[in-house]
Amino acid sequence: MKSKLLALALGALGTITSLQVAAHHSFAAEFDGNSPLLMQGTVVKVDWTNPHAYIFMEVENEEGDYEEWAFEMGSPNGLQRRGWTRNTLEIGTEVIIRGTRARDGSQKGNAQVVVIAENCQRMFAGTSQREFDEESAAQEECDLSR
Amino acid sequence: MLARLILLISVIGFAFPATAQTGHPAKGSWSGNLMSFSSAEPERIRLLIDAWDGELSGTINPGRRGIEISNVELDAESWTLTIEADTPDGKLMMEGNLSNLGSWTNRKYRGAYTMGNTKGTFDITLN
Repeated sequence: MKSKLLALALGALGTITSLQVAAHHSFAAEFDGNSPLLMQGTVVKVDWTNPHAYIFMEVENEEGDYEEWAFEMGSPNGLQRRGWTRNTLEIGTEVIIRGTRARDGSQKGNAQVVVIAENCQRMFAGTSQREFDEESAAQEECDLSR
Repeated sequence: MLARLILLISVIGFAFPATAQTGHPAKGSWSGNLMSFSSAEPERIRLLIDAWDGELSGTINPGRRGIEISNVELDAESWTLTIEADTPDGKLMMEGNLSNLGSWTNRKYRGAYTMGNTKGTFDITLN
């Protein structure tokens, strides 16, 4: 009886743990490093969550319709080391995001750099893409839309 | 002892999802369109609604050109949400119903509006 209860307890623990880590994955499994994205839009939501924070951005497409895009960033800890706080991007902020596209073709990307359009403030988004070099990217122009 | 352990794990397991339940059904960032009866072109609208101590407040099109909502009320019996604001195009009055309240990504706010002399309907979704 005790061993059954122990197995049940371990099973429950395993289920809970797997739920916590389900969102954690390698960059290459979900994003295509060869499919760059450069988008401008309005922040409509920020999820400051582990293991990845997310920016949700509303983008006007060529037909004049609005699409919601989700951009994955690094962990909140990693972002804080880059100068972010959970309130850095307020709802309604116009931003330009450079990143890479999701492999599944959904409206999702992995953010490398986020620029606040109003003041041209650039921030690195803590991407886990190994090929992305923050030091060399820091030398680029501020306004990514040019 | 093991029964207590199972109970503890269960409580912790349920507590994490429960942290996402942030209360008021109108609270959050909303996006959608105003569809005027006199124009074929929809007008984009975004709402940011906050709830604090039972009181609602908010902003229309938050950001540099955001407009403070002067009055926002929810009738919890009918889930009717009423919003008023003074915009450059005249007084905006929106009245509609919240639906799909169990959803965090597809909650709807639909109804009718007037803005100055313009009338129409709106369809807005929680982001």
